[in-house]
Amino acid sequence: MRGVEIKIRELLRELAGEVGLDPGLEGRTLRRARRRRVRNGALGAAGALGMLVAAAVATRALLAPLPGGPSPRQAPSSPSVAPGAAFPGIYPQTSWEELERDQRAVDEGHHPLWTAPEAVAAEFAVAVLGWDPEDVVTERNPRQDLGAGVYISNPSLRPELPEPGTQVQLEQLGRTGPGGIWTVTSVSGVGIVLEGIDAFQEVRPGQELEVRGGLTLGTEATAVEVSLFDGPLTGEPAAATTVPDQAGFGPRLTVPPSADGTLTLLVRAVEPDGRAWSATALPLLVAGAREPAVPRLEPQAGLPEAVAAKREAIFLAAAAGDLEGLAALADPATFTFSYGADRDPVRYWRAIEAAGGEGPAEVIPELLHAPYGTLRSGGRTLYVWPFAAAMDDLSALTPAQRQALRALGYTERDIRSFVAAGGFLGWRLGITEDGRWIFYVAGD
Amino acid sequence: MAGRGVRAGGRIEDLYRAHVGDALRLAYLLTGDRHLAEDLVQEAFVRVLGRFADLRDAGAFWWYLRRAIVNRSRSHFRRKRVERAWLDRQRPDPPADGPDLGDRDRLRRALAALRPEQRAAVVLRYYEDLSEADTAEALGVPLGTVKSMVSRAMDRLRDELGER
Repeated sequence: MRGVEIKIRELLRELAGEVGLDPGLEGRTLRRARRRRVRNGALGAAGALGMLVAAAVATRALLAPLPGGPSPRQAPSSPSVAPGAAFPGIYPQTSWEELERDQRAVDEGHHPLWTAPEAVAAEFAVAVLGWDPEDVVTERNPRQDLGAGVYISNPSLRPELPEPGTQVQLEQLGRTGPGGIWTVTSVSGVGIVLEGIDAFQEVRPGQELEVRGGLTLGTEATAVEVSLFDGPLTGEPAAATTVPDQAGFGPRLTVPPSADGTLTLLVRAVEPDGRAWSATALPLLVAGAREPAVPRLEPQAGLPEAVAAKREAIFLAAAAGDLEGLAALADPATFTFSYGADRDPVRYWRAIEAAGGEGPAEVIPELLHAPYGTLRSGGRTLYVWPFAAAMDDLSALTPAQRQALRALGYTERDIRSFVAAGGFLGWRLGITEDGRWIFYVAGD
Repeated sequence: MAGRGVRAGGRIEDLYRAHVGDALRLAYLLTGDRHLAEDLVQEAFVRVLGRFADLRDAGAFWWYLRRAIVNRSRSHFRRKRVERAWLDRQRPDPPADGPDLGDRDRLRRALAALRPEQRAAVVLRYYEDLSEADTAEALGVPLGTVKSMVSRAMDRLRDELGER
């Protein structure tokens, strides 16, 4: 027995060794990860949730209530909830980024069934309710003219449940019409009643959320699972509890923080074998206390007040991805952003991003965390980030300075090239002692 | 001008480079498809780096990443099953044609024939060397379920490898 296990271990290692690393993967992955970090952090720092809540809720129209369930809301089928607002979908996409990615996959010929609301609803039944794919029966709600309503049922479970079953509400949150993918935005479970809680209800991290309700059908041997998810419903819940249904339920869950300002409440009526015979799922909006993923800007000793204020303003605009706001902070008479013929910094920065490079939103927040240096010019002091931009001789870098440059992503090879060129040529940013931002530039 | 007009940040590259090789190998064993493995790894990194940018305990990063990869591979196979059922025709991925390379090739085919949950359990248990309890935690299933999944999967692998 042991010999076989050892052999399988060895074979697995050999098999794993077959796969090689695509050198292009790193750039693609890190660009996407940075965009996500910056976007999360900027949203958190800006405290814009109130506006996002309003934007998301205002675009929703109330659907006709379903028998025995809560009233799901839905948006018009036009994409009126703009990216940047809280994402209203709960399955399979839980962010604008995932929506964009999956739409691209469909455009490339993958997952053609994501353009069929019935198929997405069936997938929800399998992934979230635990049904066997062969058991899922779907039926389109013909009375619905906004988005799509699809009833799902499972004849192998609780045949006494009334037709047509649990309603899955779907919308095309990006492209509409043929070719646009569908996302589940709420689920109204047959036989499940929730009281006092509704889609897009606002909750606060740390709040004790009481999920009160009851099962109107088939309570025998049923447990009720109540969970809050910050992310995919197929992942790990951020908070969860299971209670028996005895003349109703009312567990309390502590609302966790959310990375993107939304949580999904999932209530499942569970059979002893783990399958759910019904489920209700609603998006909730998390107010106020999202955790910024981008580090806050710490004060740096020795900076004049005007310089510190401008540094912070630049940081906030960059972290928020507000290129126009960033350009407005520059000194219009002297600002250098390129050594080419470009005249418009915003257009220049956008071109960098479009070419797959890192724009100010990604570079500046980290640059301003680096130690700064000073230069004297015309009797005035200029404050520059990173410190290396104020050094004439980079061959004299101390180990700590070298490490600081490495922390910014520069390699020893980069540093050697700076030494050979006679100065630091990476991205650098300068503010005069009276608070004028006069350059953010790379190269020579 | 230096070789790079833009520069990269420091920490997330460190996390990426420290774990990408392990992540890719794990994803490959879970899926048997290197392109799919790359996609899964990219998705998992983006998600975990995006959400845990301020992770205090860098040692926990691999735990989160591994879990994200396993979850994504399971979602992928679940989706494939739905598609097959929806289209009402069985389209199992046939084992790759070609010369029999021996035990490794037989293991590849045997892994591909396992249910995704079983394959994940075997890979976590015997490639990642997780305990049964840790495997259960990574998969989000009870300990008893892991024991039975691993046991059944190992029976099939032994059959395929002619070790009975």
